[in-house]
Amino acid sequence: MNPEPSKNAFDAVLSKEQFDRIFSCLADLAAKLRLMAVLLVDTSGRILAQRMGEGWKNTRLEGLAALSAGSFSASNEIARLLGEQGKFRMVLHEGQQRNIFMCSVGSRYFLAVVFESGTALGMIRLFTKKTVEELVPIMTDDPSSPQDLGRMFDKKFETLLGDELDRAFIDKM
Amino acid sequence: MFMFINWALKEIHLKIVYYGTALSGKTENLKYIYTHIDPALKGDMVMLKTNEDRTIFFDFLQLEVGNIDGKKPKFNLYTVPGQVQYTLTRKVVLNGVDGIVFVADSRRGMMDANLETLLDLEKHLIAGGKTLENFPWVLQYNKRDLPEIESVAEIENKLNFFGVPAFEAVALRGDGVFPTLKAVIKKVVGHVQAQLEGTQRMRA
Repeated sequence: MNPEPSKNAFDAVLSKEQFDRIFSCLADLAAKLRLMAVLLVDTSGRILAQRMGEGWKNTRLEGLAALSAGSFSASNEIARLLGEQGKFRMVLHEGQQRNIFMCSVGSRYFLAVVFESGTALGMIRLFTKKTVEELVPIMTDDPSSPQDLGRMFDKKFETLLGDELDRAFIDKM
Repeated sequence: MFMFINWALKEIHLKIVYYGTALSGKTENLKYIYTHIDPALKGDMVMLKTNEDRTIFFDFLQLEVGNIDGKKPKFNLYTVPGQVQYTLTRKVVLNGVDGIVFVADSRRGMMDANLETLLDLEKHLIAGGKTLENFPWVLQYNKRDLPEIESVAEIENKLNFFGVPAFEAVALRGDGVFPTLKAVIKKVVGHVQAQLEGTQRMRA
């Protein structure tokens, strides 16, 4: 799970050990700052791990992740057009009651932190920076990949997937 | 390789983008899928539109097909804005794509626009180290119900130079929508499996 681009297919795999350690980092951050939610997202919008605050349990965050990734990636394009050497260091959307703060984790991922307006932005930036520093070595760790990963999408899976898709579409054409 | 596997949760996340000219029917595809799929399997649909109801950034829909052989595939479906001025936005939305549905507008007079958009797609893929030649994608020939349309043979000749699976469609009423989606998912899964096997052989 390399935060930098790689051609290795197994770098797209998050092991159980990595996931547990990442989740622990997010849980610590969420508790310290009393966050509503914290997500580790890849720049294409996929959620690697998430931790929600009390009031946000059972909320599906896929749409938020997709929109955040769009916003974050768009800001990187803006930085490029403005002639910035790298990306913008952070993206902040400030609301009346809630805010969302995003910062890079390597070049492939970012942290999205949702917090209430009473929380000082300086604290958000400080503790998020520390969390990013903890996350990068976890993600660049190279644990042994599951032996059966190469057979993940075998013929059996393909057939079963096809059957499930047929069942899922209520109005088949 | 862009797909993501969470081995702890046995989740496989794949991103599929619907690409095509302005008003070719990309959003209609997603809307139809959203309204005709088992509600338990879909998330909310996100649509970012202008006041004129045109896609300005993207549409998004996540499908979770459930537990399949111990794995949970999740498909993130996106559309791009088709208008010419949004080429940089399309580049952003294509980030991390695993499979593409190219929605072609079958109307007579639209072939040049279709081809231009296909070349625009190729340009973005090349910038990311990919090409249409070896990337999982399918074609959809939409608006087959309209009176003034090109023949399928003519569209095939102009757009399907790599012989990818192609489907006639009328996305507004759902014709061809699910076969297209099922085909691109099958192509993506096959491509991913080939990549994983290749990497595992190298590591052995």
